Amino acid sequence: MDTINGKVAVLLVDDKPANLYALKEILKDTHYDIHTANSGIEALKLLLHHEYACCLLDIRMPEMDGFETAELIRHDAQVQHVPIIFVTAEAGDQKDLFKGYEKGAVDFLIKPLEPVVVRSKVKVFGDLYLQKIALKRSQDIEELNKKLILLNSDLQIANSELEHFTHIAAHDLREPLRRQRSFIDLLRDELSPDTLSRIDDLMRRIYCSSDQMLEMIDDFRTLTKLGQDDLKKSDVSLKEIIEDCLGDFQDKIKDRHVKVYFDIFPPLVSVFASLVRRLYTNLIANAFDHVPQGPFVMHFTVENVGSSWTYGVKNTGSCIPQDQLTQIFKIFRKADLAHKDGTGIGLSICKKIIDRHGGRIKAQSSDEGVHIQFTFEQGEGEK
Amino acid sequence: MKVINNNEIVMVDDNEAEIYIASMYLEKSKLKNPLISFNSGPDFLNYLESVKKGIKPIPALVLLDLRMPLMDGFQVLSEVREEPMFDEIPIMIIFSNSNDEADIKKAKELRANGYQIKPSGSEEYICFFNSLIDGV
Repeated sequence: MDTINGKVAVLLVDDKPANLYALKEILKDTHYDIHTANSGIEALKLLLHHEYACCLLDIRMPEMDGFETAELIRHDAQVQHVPIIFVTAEAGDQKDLFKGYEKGAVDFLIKPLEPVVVRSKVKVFGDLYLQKIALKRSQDIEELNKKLILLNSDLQIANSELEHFTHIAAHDLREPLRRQRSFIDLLRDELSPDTLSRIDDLMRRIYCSSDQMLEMIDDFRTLTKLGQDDLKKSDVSLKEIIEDCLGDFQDKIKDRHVKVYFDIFPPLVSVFASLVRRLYTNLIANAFDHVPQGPFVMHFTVENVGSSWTYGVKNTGSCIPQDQLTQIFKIFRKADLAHKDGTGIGLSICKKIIDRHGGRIKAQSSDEGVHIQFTFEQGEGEK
Repeated sequence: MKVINNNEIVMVDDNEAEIYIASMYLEKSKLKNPLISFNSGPDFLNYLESVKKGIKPIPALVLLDLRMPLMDGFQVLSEVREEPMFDEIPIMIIFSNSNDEADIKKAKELRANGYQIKPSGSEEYICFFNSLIDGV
């Protein structure tokens, strides 16, 4: 069911061209697409090929009159739904009216035709037709919606299976690597001190490679676990967590002469404590990753606008190209090729942690350095 | 958990490489016990039958890998613990990778004497074996 060029179509059937012309004139300023037929047979052909809002059918026609035409229309499953308006020359002829209704007419037009009446009756069926189309469309949309919901559900299942698979795969990948570590150690023990000193660098690189892979796998596992674990929020002091995390970097901070600053933090924030610990650790490690050498400043920021709190980690000494600012949170995307450490998963984990909290994370880069900011929720949670 | 005598330490693990590594490190550690190994639960339980009959001596300690294809560590553990004669044998469940809270709980329930995550590298392994020496 549809409109022709977006217009609703109406079919006029009369053997006399003059009558058709008159009807066309009456309907000329309406928005309907007017089709005409000279006979019942022609009308049927047109009805089979087009959708009409209604059919104005002259009763008095040679060969096949209006009633016979109507009967044929009513018997054809494809076209029987089209509303038929009989056009009759004789007013007050009861027999005609009854026969017409019997044959399936829904209305009558009596000659001489009153333009207002004609337009009004055609409009009724035109509007009805448009309503039918609108209903069909909304039904189609409902159908599509149902399909969409099913597809979405399938997608979620597939995604969760993928996560599960990755989790298992990471688990299993770890074991050969673990054994390799032992083999390397045992190999080392077999070598004489002379040989050892010559291949010292080589041994170190083998260890490094192994360690890197282990780290990556562990990060993968963390990434997949983040979606799965049941966690509870608790009220924590972010500053204390950060200071705790910094503890693991004490040696690096001293060696590199890193200056650490804190903005004023709210006393307690409601978060997933273990995840936030991981978040800050990753961001601190990320800062060290990005500033290859020399001293720099690390600033733990807090911004408060009304009830919304934005936290961040800022470091001097590095920058991220503007077109990379959103890419860095994607897995394995590293902003600059210069640094070799890091698994390429750390920031993805940060994003996932923030996602888990329902917050937002973003990166900014300027002359001052890189500032990664995030929220934990929309305005709630701070005390 | 410590070895109870100078007899064999038994290792049950489906992975041959794990056994090879363990035996190498056992040699380097201060433990004097020899190592015998089985690749599956049924094989180990067969050996225990010989111990029951007095053909073989009571082992000093059992290191039982958890993830094995035929019978997993827990199944083997429950079977061993059904025999009162073996109550004195210290059995340690070996976890690869991570310690799952549920697994640790189950190990305790099934009366394992301890659990250990598979060591990684020289230092960890030798340290672990040394910790099993009686009197250390």
